[in-house]
Amino acid sequence: MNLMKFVFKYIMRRKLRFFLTLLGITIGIATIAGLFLLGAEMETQVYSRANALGSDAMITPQHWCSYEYVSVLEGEQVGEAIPISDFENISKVDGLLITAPIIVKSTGIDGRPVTVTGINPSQMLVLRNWKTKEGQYLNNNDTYSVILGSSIAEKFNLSITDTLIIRENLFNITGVLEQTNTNDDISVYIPFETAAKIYNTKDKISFVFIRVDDISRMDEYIIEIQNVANVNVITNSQIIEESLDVIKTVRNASLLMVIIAIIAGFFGIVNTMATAVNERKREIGILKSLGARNSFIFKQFLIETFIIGFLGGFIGYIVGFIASYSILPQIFPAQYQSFQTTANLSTSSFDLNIFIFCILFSLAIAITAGLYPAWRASKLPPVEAMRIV
Amino acid sequence: MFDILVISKLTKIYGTKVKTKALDNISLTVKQGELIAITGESGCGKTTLLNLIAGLDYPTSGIIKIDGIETTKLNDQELAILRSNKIGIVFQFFNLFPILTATENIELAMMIAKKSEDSQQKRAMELLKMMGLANKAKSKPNELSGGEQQRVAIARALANDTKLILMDEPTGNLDSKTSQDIMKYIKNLNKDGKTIIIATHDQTLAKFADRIIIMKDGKIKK
Repeated sequence: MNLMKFVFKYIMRRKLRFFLTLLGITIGIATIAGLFLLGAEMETQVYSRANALGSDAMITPQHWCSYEYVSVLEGEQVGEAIPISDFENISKVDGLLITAPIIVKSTGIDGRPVTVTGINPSQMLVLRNWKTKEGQYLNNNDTYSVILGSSIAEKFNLSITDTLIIRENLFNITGVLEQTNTNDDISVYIPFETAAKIYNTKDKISFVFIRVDDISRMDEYIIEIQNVANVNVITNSQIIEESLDVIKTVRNASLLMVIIAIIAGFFGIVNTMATAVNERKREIGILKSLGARNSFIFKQFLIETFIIGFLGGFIGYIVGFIASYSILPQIFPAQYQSFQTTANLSTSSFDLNIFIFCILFSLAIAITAGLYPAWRASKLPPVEAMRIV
Repeated sequence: MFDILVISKLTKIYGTKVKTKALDNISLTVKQGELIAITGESGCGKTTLLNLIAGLDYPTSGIIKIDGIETTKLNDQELAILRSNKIGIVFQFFNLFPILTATENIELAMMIAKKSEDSQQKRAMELLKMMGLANKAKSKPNELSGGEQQRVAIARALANDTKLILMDEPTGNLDSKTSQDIMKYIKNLNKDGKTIIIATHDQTLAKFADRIIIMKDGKIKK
């Protein structure tokens, strides 16, 4: 017989209560793990997507806020607010090697929403370095032609022999892009002028990607651009910052809910252990009559909470890991779901730091919750404890 | 013979506002190897006296010495060590742990005394054989009869080979035939050199003792 075996036998005696207590702390830890894992994955995605833009900066309407920048990284539909006249003035600024106008709209394929991006084919080819795996890339002379992101072609089983109807216009599929593992895979691309026409954007565009000849002179270019147009210019690093701010805001708001879950778990353990002390008063008295010291009784109860804490942290991480890639996107579709759409998210792996944090945090919560009941048990006078029948 | 227990002017008063004197200026000496029966009516102070000897409670005044150690001067921690090494206790209601088997209940006392798991198992089996319960080693208390449970409880009290065994109404919850069996075991233990103090109503059991102490109203009458 040893103390661990003795404690384990007590746990087995009240399996359901132990399970329910464990469930309380597990839910809290799973939520934390899910948020952290998702947050870490989203941050990684922000960096990789910002790098995948291929541009040095982006010109956007003045009123855009962080959420619109996230939408750009996500390849989601955004409004049009930059007049073509402003775009033409911007194009004339010295030092801008590429000024690629973009219109981002949506259409439906088989009843499912799909992003339609209006692009200047040759400029986007330079920015993104796309390659076709099937058919031909768009020519600047093409009008009602479309090239598909690889995931779209795969998902809807489309190839170059097919056509696509966008806004009641028939488009020939000229090619399919190679997989990029970015949101480029989940859009279809049509010539910019055609997009402006069929979506009737009234001579306005969504935003502009730019590439400059000398990145160290970016500040000068920004001033020159803003002299000729009422726009905002945001560099890739600023896009990353803005997008991370959104993630942090969502995560901080979610952490409030987590705190509530953790508090509930904490009091669940306090309640379970306090009940256990009351139920076992007589047995505590017997142990003391057999010569058990206060520290023995204290350790016995603390080991129980330690087991709850350890298992809560371990199982919580596993549940959080699964939840972060399956359940949470359903709960927070706007913030999370779009991040879940690309293929490379499925390769997300075990995060040792978050795992260790979950175990230690869960242990800290459980042990803190168990301290008072364990102390109370250890201090029970033996005669008083044994009087309970 | 060596005085294993010396009690001098022991008084225990319960309560603060309404005071009840459970023990009143008791003095008693027990020699090593004696079998003592403490009898008396309910509420006369038998159990209080055993609790104080076991160090489960503190006296209001007076001195208790066990094996030369003045236990009334010890703190909780030291009393726990004393119980583990020098005193075995048997209760009326057996007080076995329902989650543990007969063997494990005996091992528990040795685990508390920090004995190795190997020696615990060996000693527990020895004691179960001695009590005629070798075939019940894996049985839990609810699978044992009252007499068997009490024999396991006695085995547990013997586990750490303590010099002094205290028994509070050891046959109080048993039928007369089983009580007779238990008495034989107790007598055999005494023959093996154990000092045993039994608090009991049972006059038949008391007659087995070398000396009978009769208590009344917290005092030793005889």
